Amino acid sequence: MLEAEKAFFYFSVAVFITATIINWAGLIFNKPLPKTLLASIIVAVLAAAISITLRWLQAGHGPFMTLYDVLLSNLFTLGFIFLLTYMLVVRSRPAALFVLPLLSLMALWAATTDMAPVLLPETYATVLLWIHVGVGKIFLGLCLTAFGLAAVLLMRYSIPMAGFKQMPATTELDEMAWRFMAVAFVFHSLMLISGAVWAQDAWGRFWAWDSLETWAFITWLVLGLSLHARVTWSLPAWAGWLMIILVFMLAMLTFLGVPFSSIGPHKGIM
Amino acid sequence: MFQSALKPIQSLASLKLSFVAMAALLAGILYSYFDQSQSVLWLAIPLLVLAVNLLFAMVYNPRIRQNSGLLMFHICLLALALLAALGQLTSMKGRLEIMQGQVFDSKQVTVVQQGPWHSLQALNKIVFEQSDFQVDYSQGLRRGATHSQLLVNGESFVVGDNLPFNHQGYRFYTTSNKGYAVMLAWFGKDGKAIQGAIHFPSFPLYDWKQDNQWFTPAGQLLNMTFISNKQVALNESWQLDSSQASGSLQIETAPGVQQILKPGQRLKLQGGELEFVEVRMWMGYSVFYNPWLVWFFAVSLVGVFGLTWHYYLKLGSRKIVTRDTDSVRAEHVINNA
Repeated sequence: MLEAEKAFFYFSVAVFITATIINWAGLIFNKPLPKTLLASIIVAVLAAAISITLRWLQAGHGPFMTLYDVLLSNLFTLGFIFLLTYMLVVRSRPAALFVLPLLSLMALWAATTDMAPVLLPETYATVLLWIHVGVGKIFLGLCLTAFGLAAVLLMRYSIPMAGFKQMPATTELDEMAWRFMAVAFVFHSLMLISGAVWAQDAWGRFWAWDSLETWAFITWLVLGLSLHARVTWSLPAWAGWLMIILVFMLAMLTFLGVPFSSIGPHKGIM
Repeated sequence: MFQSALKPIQSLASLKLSFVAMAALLAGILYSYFDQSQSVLWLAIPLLVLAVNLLFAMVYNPRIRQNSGLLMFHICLLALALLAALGQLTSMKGRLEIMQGQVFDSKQVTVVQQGPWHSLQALNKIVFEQSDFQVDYSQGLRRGATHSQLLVNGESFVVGDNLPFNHQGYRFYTTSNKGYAVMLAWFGKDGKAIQGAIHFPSFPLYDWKQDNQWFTPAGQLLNMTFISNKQVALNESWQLDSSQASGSLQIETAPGVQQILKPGQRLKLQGGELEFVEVRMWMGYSVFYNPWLVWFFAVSLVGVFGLTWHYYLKLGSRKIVTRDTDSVRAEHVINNA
């Protein structure tokens, strides 16, 4: 592993943690969000991007194989998607209170894993991998922002703090969280379709209920159930927020737990 | 009167039923995941209820009927359920080991799954011959590219990894299974001569136990071990090339009585003579048939398009508004904190 790659990765970790502290200090001391927060997210995402680029150049392929690969690529892609959301959907910024600590934890987790690159299996050398992973990351990024909003809303509901007064109204944040979930549902559907096309080419079957496929479908179903439940019943808002958090936890389990704890084609084993 | 008679039918379109059926499907998936013994029914029953519910919802639920995107999405979900059922009835999965120089014979296919409406007759129309193949390995015995050459009516096709051989709707995918085969000839004392091949376990996965057994036509059991000339390198890149397959054959005719043969050598046995003709390799394929694949893909895409269209119309032009009293109450609590 290149020293420069490592240096940029650790720098990114440090900046994500700093951004988390700045954000939470703003809430606790009831201060408006400083411009340094946006700057620090940009710097952290850029550093993660440089680290991935250097790793890519050394390994000769993208970050798809090891747990470190996936965590590093998530650090960049989820950070980048959240950065876009932060800049374009200004009223979703409170989500940063939970998104940034989560990205920091992901980065710290990555730092504890084996960073050595491994070879890409031949079945991964296809454009379908890029489409599948690409739409999957967009799904997870949107789900992450919805999770951030739901977690903020739950906290606001249960622990009243003066710092919450600066944030948009509860109903507005709630509606926004569900909008992110609705768009995430579209991207999750695309991820399943592109994954099935790839699986047909790579392993000779489009769906085989392997561990990752099963948990990805469960996530899709629970997300669909949540969207359905919201229009079927007048659920209390907090129940909806808990459902969003559950969907996000399932998505994290699917993306970061199942592929590295099961033996299956998705693991790229020979 | 007519309205009251319709009520039970309309309840089949209920969104609450959709929720219950989706929850049942979720429970079925989880049950099947942890205990695979009854997987089909646990998934099929909730899916059937969902399909019926969807059908009625499309007829009776104005919310679905009046939203073209939502209607499109739900029609596609129903179509996918039908296609899945059709796929189960007409599809086929199998596996095959075929040796270099051997012509495909449908009898070689081991059928793993066959739908009741699938006839294996179509397999008889498939004609191809297995030619040479190469498999790359890199350090740590990680498998790289597979290039398997097939001859079809004198034309050569290279398949492997993401590229299957498509013929008559059947797809043949190379697998990680491949290994050595020895061609043997038997010359009986009764004047009868036969020729055949013995396949040895997958190589290099089982390079440490290249064993197989064979009963001669005279009824003698032979324990055979193939000794490959190819050394499996763990710490460097190498290629398994079927055109360079070579090795010797160790034959145990009785406990402790062994003899090693090289290609072309013969061994006298009870009732005849065995010749080790030559070394070849076999390639393992998985065979897949599902005529609805393209439809699956098209319907899925149209469904996602419908969903996107629905959300675009629903969310794109709408301002974020207050939704329920509970949220307002929460906000009230905060603002008064």
